[in-house]
Amino acid sequence: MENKHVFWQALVVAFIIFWTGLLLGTYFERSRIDKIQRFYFDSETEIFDLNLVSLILGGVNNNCGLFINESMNFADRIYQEALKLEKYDSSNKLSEEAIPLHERYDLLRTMLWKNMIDNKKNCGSKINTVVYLYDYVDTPLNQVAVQKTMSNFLADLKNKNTGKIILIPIAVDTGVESLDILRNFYNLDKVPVIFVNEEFKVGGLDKISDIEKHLIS
Amino acid sequence: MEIITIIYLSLMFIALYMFSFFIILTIKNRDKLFSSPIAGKSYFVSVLIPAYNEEDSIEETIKHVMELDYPKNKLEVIAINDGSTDKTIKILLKLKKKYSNLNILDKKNSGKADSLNQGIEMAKGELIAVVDSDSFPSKESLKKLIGYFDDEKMGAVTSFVKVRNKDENFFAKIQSLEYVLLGWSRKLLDFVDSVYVTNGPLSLYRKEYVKKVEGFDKNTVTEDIDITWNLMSRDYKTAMCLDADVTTIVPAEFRKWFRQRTRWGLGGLQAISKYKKMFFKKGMFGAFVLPFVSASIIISIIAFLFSSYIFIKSFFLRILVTGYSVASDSPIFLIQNINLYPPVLLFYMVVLLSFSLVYYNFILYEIKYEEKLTLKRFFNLLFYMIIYLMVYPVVWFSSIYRFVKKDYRW
Repeated sequence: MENKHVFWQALVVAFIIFWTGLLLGTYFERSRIDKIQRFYFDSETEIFDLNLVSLILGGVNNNCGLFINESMNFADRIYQEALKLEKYDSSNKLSEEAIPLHERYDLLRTMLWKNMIDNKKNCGSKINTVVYLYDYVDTPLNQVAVQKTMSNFLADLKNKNTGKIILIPIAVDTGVESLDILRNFYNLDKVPVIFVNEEFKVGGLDKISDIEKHLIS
Repeated sequence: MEIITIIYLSLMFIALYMFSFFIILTIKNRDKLFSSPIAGKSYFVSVLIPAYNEEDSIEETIKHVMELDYPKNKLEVIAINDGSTDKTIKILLKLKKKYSNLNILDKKNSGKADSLNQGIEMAKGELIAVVDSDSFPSKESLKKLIGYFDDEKMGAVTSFVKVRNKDENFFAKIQSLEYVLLGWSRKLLDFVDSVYVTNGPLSLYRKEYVKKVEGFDKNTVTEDIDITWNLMSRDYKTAMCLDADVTTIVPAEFRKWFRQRTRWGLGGLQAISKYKKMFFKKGMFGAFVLPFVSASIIISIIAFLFSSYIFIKSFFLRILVTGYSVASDSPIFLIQNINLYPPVLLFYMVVLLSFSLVYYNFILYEIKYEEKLTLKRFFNLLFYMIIYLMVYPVVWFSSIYRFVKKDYRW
């Protein structure tokens, strides 16, 4: 047969295209994660700075405004960065590097939450903290739908109440131990859950509209 | 890596392999695609036209056969009336007065395979041409098929089928594209001795070999696949001539199309089951044709299930989110939810789709399917590639169901 070599020749061509695709894909996915990692590095520096600010100021009430402002900006920024990270992660199929990075963001947000708890005690309740706890890895379809709805609701709530809410979404299944301790402390064993000002808990969609009533105006 | 990604990558690799396979065959054999060997000797040919209730087309078919550019003293035509209940026999008797070399075999209804076997018994020719009663062979077609039989091992040669009613509706148009692309790929498979179907509209067989394999199998619903596999399994050659064309009618209604394709699928499954012992045996039939056909069926079903899963999952998610959003007075959609970062795995899909589009257009250009590349043709090709081919595996479920139930009705 004249064309018998075509069988292995096609295999070689297919391998070349396939591996080119894999290499390019991995490169693009890496570059996306690298971009977030650079953001993360800045955010990490900022949270340490914020922590230090909180320690230095201690219970000095007249600096509360400054602290709240800093926290609000910081929360907004890491919210946007994490949003981007989740988008990258849903598109990234070859590598799983987004999950450890997500864990680190969750750690940052847990630190932010703890800072907010402490400083609200010192400064009084001048700002709303809305903590949203959700599952991130291997989530069943129905829960994904509930979480998407909750997350849309909260994003909308945040937009409507600019400057009044610090929204802190944290994934509970990326292995942040300090978060588990906080969850135990506040009895937040079921997810998804929205926790407003360390008082009001919403575990489903039926009472989600009540959140607005529990915000400090 | 997720299991879904692994399945996707595997399917993409197979698709890339098959695409590369056909591209390399095209490049290597571009000069030979439309050539046909000139016969070194003359052959007596008996043309068999089995007909069952074909009053609408039988006259035209016989007219086309009679007009074939082939020495009349080397050609006999046998029209087989397979117990038609319409005016087929009356038309044949009328035509008999007009054409002296037309013979009529009028018999009780016993199916196409048996009709052909009875026709072969009657035939005087060294070669047997089978022409479907709704198909019109072109004038030159028979002459172009003959030369292949100078090869002593040649058992069957098939033609290039074109769709006559392609302008009837969009569905017929899509099928006409499919026939062109199938014909082309069949020709490419000829270069690796793997033409696995000698189609019903026009194929030529060496009578001696057909008799050796005990003729057409009456127990199969696609006698053309079976006879080809039977010949190949005994090391006889099969070939395809892209320059010998024949036109046929395709079902323009979905229901008829589905029934026809289910039957083809069922015939394929019957053939795989019948020749399963030949898997991976010596020769192209066992080493390539059988695994290739079987793998094509399995892969197309997996691809269908895979894409259906993805589609249904995202559809249900969308439905659930919409329902929950309405119930909880939450926004259904936010601008910030738009993901402008497509998965990099789309690379393969884009490469395959764009290369296939270019390649298919090249085929249509070479075949002279239509003069110009129009936006409409581009859209038709896209529809064929994305919708028609994706949905086609549904036919396989029906074929498998009938195969399991042993429902072998025509």
